[in-house]
Amino acid sequence: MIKFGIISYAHVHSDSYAWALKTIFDHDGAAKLVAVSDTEPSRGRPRAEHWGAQFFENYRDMLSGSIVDAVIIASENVRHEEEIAAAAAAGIHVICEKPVGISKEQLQSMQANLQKHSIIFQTAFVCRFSAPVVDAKRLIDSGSLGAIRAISATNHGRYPGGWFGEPALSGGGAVIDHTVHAADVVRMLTRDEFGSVTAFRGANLRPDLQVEDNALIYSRLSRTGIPVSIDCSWSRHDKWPIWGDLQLNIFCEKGVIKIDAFKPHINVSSASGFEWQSLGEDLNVKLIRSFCNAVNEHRASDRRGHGAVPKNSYDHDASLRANFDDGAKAASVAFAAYSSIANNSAPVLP
Amino acid sequence: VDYAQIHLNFRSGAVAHLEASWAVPANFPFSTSLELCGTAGMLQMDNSEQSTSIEVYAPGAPISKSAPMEFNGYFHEIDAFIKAVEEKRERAPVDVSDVVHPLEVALAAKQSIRTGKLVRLSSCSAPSAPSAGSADGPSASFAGSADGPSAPGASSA
Repeated sequence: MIKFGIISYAHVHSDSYAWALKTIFDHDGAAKLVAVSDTEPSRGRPRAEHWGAQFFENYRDMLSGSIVDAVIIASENVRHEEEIAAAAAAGIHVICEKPVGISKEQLQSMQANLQKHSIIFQTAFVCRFSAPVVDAKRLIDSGSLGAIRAISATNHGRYPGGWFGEPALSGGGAVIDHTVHAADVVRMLTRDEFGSVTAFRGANLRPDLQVEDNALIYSRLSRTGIPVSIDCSWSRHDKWPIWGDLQLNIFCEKGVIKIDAFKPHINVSSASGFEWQSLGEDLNVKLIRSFCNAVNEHRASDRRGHGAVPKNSYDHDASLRANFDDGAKAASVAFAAYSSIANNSAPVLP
Repeated sequence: VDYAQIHLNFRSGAVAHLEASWAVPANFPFSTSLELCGTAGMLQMDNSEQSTSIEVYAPGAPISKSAPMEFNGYFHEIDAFIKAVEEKRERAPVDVSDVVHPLEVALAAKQSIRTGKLVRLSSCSAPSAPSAGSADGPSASFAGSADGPSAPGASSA
């Protein structure tokens, strides 16, 4: 069993991870949430108690004394670097929310630091585990539709609120929050990297917000030249029935694939409003299971004395697991988009 | 060019993404969809997915899904034209000026595909500093395209 801690309840997803860990524990005991840390005890402590986990105000106390084997970092984006460094130094495996960092410099120092430690690091790119995305990957890899010629993608959403609108904590708005999911899925499906990025910021839908809430991003992939567009906007209003979407139109030589990753859904109506709830296995459960496979393989490999585990070599879903490099590459697309916007929409290499 | 992504900047500061495609197989439904996002709400329409009101399944026949209306767009178009003639109106419901601007946008997109650069529309003045305003036309367009199966090599790199 792998003992998990959650660092911070700042993120809207923190409790979803707790729920996913409970689901896995109840099913086969492969993972267990044992600890929660939060700089704001009034926010984190009640949730820790709810899940029967130990609470820490300082995450460093949670990382010492073999309390946890792994942590899920769900703090404000700007704090990831320091928390990852502390976990890595303690030999604790990490799942980190996206974006992994908020600047190129931060990513470089994170990468240099991670190279010194033998831990499993996974970027929380849940969309990779979405059934229609996996299906599309299989179809593309089979070659039956020929080569990809163009992709248009959206990752729309509601404004998540709170620190997501504070640039000092988030590193930016919709561009850094949503470009990364779409960019990551494009990278995974094409096995190609983004070339120069041209981005346009629209006038804010929420004029009072400090960060951008809508932008359109264009690029060509560097090896294949495939044109890609990404709409990363927080263009859904507060009453939209689901937090957001991930849609891709993939134009291939011999056909077209249209993906709507959060379908099918059921309609749920209650006093608190109207919601679309996606069907199918919870994506966080799949993400954490994939991580557990890697951690278990790492342990086995350590016992055999083989040292660190390379990616993509063991379990069936290893190719879906996003490592640090995947997280950094996707974040770099967002950084390039910001540079482009700042430079009058000039093309910028990630 | 059988597929293009076109970006539009508006004087109001709004942005738009247009996608034009023939790069689909023959069995792909003719479809148009539109999404408008504003400060107070959002509007979506999609003629291919959301509007089916009758489905017919019969042995040996293709599945039929449609959204019949008492009066469709063609009816309204002719009806409006007849009314304009009968009432001797000065302006047709869709007159030449309504055609010129969209064409200008399309031609600018073609130019942008050729040059890889933003094109500023001559009918729009100094748009680089977004100003508040209504009923703005697009001030600049930016387009990329892909060579599709039916027109290999037809577009710029």
